[in-house]
Amino acid sequence: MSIQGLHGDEVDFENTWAQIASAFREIHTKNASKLSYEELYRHCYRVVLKKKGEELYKRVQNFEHEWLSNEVRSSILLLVTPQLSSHDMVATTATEQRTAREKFMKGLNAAWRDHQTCMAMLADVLMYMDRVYCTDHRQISIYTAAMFLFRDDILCAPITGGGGTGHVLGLLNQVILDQIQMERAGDVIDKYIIKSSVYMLEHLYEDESESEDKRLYVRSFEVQYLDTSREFYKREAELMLRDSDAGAYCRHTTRRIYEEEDRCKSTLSEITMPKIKKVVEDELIKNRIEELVGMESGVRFMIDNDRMDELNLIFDLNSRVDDKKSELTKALQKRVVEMGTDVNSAAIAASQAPAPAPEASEKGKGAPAERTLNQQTVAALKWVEEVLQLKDKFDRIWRESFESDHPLQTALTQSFSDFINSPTFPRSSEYISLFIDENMKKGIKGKTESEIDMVLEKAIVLLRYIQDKDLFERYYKKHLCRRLLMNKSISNDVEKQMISRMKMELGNNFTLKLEAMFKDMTISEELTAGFKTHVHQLGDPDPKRIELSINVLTSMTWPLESMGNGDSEDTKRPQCIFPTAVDRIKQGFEKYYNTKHSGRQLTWLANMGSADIKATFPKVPQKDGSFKERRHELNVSTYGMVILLLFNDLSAGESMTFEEIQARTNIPNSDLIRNLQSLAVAPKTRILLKEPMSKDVKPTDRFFFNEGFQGKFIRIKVGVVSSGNKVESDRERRETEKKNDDSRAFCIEAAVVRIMKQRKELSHQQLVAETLTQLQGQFKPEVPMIKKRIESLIEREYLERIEGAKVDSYRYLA
Amino acid sequence: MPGFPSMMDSNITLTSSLATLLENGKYSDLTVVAGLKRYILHRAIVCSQSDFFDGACRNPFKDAQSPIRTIDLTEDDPEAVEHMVHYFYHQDYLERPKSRRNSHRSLRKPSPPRQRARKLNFSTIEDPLLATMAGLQDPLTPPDEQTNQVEMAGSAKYLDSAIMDQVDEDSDESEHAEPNHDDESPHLIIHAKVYAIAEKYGIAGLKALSRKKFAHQVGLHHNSMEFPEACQEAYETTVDSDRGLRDVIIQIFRSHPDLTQRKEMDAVLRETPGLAFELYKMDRGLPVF
Repeated sequence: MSIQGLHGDEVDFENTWAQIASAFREIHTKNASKLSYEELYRHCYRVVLKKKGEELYKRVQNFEHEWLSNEVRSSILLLVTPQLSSHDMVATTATEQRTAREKFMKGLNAAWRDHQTCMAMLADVLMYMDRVYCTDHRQISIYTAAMFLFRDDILCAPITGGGGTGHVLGLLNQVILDQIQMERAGDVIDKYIIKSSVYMLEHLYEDESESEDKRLYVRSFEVQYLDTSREFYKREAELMLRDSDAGAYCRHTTRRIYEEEDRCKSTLSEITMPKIKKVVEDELIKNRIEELVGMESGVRFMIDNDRMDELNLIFDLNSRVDDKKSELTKALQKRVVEMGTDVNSAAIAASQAPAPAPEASEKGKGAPAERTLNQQTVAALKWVEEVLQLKDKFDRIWRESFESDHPLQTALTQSFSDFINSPTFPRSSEYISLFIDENMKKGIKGKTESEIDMVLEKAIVLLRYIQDKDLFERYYKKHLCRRLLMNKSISNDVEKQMISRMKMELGNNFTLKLEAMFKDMTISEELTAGFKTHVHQLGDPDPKRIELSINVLTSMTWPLESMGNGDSEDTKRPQCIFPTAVDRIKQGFEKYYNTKHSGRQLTWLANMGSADIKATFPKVPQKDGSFKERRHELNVSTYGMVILLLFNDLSAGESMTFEEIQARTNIPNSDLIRNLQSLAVAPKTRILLKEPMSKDVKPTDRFFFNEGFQGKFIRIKVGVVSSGNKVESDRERRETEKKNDDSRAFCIEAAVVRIMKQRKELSHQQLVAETLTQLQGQFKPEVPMIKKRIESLIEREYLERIEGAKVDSYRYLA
Repeated sequence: MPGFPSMMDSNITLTSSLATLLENGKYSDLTVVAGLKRYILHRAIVCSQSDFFDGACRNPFKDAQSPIRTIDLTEDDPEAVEHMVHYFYHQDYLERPKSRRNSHRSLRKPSPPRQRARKLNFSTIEDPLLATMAGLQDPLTPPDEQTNQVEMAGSAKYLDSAIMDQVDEDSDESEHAEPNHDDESPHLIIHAKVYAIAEKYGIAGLKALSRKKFAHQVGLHHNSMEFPEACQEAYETTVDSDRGLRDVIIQIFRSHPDLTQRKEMDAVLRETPGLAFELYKMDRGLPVF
């Protein structure tokens, strides 16, 4: 056909349309290869040019509508068979069902594909109409219009007589859901067919806005899919919790989530992934996590049996639904506190069980008693080891199962701190200090540097948990003091390493006094050496001169009160009367010291020193028949030395009563008893003889020099009972705590004054809060105590109450 | 082109290679028939510029199976088809004599193009760009070769900017009247026809280009004998809503009211109610569209 020129030539519209329509029919019946594209294009172009665009658009729409409802729909409806509906189970096998479903979907998919292909061709032919008419008249493109026709004429076509699903789309949804349900139950289905159907639904929209959320897939299928899935997983969770253990539940849930993710990729649409994941996570995890964690085979069981994999699964599941992982955290913390409390109870039980009260070991055996560890110390060391084991266990779980999750670490730390600082277990500070003490004295012997490092690190790890650092400091000072003065430390270097570690961990303030103690020790060494030179220069020729080694201790720095025997009454210790020779050298040193530091007063602590004495035992017949003089070097306490020197003045066979000794030495009662026990009762160091012979020392007892003393070694150490560090008795503990409270009171007052000096006026609440913050690093004061200190400060006119203030407030009085 | 310059090898750019493709028809997979002419073309080049050709090649219609798809455009104006084809490969048609752009942008001595054309006997070649390129092998030019290379390398860019330049010109076309070398014919009718074919086959670039050319020429040649018929062509080959040429024409009538008085206009106005209607509205001071 040919139209010469366009000038005024009337296009015979009907004629042209007839040709176009017939060509379209050919396209739909897949005979396009007969048709000339150029010619068709020109027909349509000309129609539009002649202002018949609208008419053409409507004719095409109508043509498609007719085609779909007359030709296509019937072929689809033919595929709607009773076997499709899963509800008519009468005479339908699963296989028949599946075949029918797949046939139905395949038919629908094919119809959709054909429609798309044909409409793409039509749209190309009608390109000019789309470009000119549709643009000018704001019509949706003919292709889009035809897609809506497919939706209306095919998918929304009512199904008569079927299972009553209503229309084709509803049936399609049901068919897909049924297939997926089969797959969930373990059957194999043809995913590709479903994917094609989904693809169709994804490219059809509910309205002309064609926005993402108006896709039929989203509006129709997905809604039902999520609903039915929710029901399914709800039921499944119930069954699983009833029939499986927690580990199996976790594994199953993990698999379900993975399956659903995979299904979205392979069968449905990725846009469903977050939604269906939420459904599964809600039903299998979120709504069930509490039950799951609390199951008999739940978190507690997993912790106790080191089920790292299962704990990891729980962690993973809990993280999916809860950033904080509250349920897991709760269970974990509960278990830590439970296990920690067990460790605490075991320690208490161990320290009480054999109950030979601390005094028991004092009976008789001086030196050996020191080597045998006190029952309580054993309990302390055991406690430390067990707490560390517990920590190792949970650290491992944390690393291997909890992906080193930070909030969980915080929670674990909190729980450890909770049981370590539990009010029912006030011994942690002491135990940790004892642990260090034991290692400093014995434990690190023969260990390599890195092994020692590990020991120190353990101590620091535990120390971190301690809330009342001041109490720890008190114990540490006490233990350190003994180690230093009695020369019990194996290595000064390790002591200093420990101090520097604590410094790093707890800050300068904490170690200030500890370092001062070391400094005193150094200065004392210099003093001793200096004094020795000094005496030498004086030219004292006395060959019997006593050598003096002295430790000058700064009184505020050293916990000297705790160096006593624990008797609080004798804080005002009476001065010991030294033998003349000793007193001379004492005065000599005082003179020397005064030339170095004038105005300082030296107080001699005889209870803390020791002395080496050369003793000669006369020739007397021995049990083994020998008859010779024996010389021994005796290492005794200063008191012991004072006592023994008394016997130098006695002739053989003379004796002294307890009371005489006391009168001549002025040694406190309890110290005297203990020293005499060591010298006259302990079998290996029986340098004195007691009459009557018994274990106890009574004021009426008489003492003789034991001329027949026999020792295996030249050097003999006369130990004094209870000179080692060990766990305090309850009375001692009360003592320590009282002292600690006193110093706390002072700290609190200092803090309150500091704060008020700066703030001038403050409400009670704020003051308490700020005080707590300031003291955080040292200890956790009790609020009533703070209150009491404030009252006391008001009494002493550091502060005053602000009259008429709405809330209790204070003012600083300069 | 026998013995086409080996010297050119170093000067090959995208534009010239496209032009060569059109010239020698190598790798062709598309034929367009118009009137007596057959154009040996390339789908990759043509379809990427026109929805129509793309549609013709991507669907399984008649002839889709053959290795070289033949598209019959016999019903279209052969001259318009020729310019369209030229445009596909040169991004221009009915180019203004070559030296203009070059003399503006290069240091090359302007040598009278016509003279060279005669000398090299390229008068039969309609493609001025080819003529220009032929001119490059002029033995007299080698000293400037360096400059030429630079210019050629950038010419693809110039192609775009040339169009952009014309867009700019559009606003002040009347005052930008430069002496026209090619003043035998203003080509008003053919520009209108190219505009129509560009619209018909969905070639946006060509549509814009032909409008530019039409506007430029009509500004210079509103008294041309072609003008009335060009008006008719413009009004009848596109839909009313297409204002591309219509606005240009109304603007000319506005600035030259006497144009309506021309005798040749009578017949045109009678046959072209669209134009008559718009002129009437303009005359009454109503908004034309």
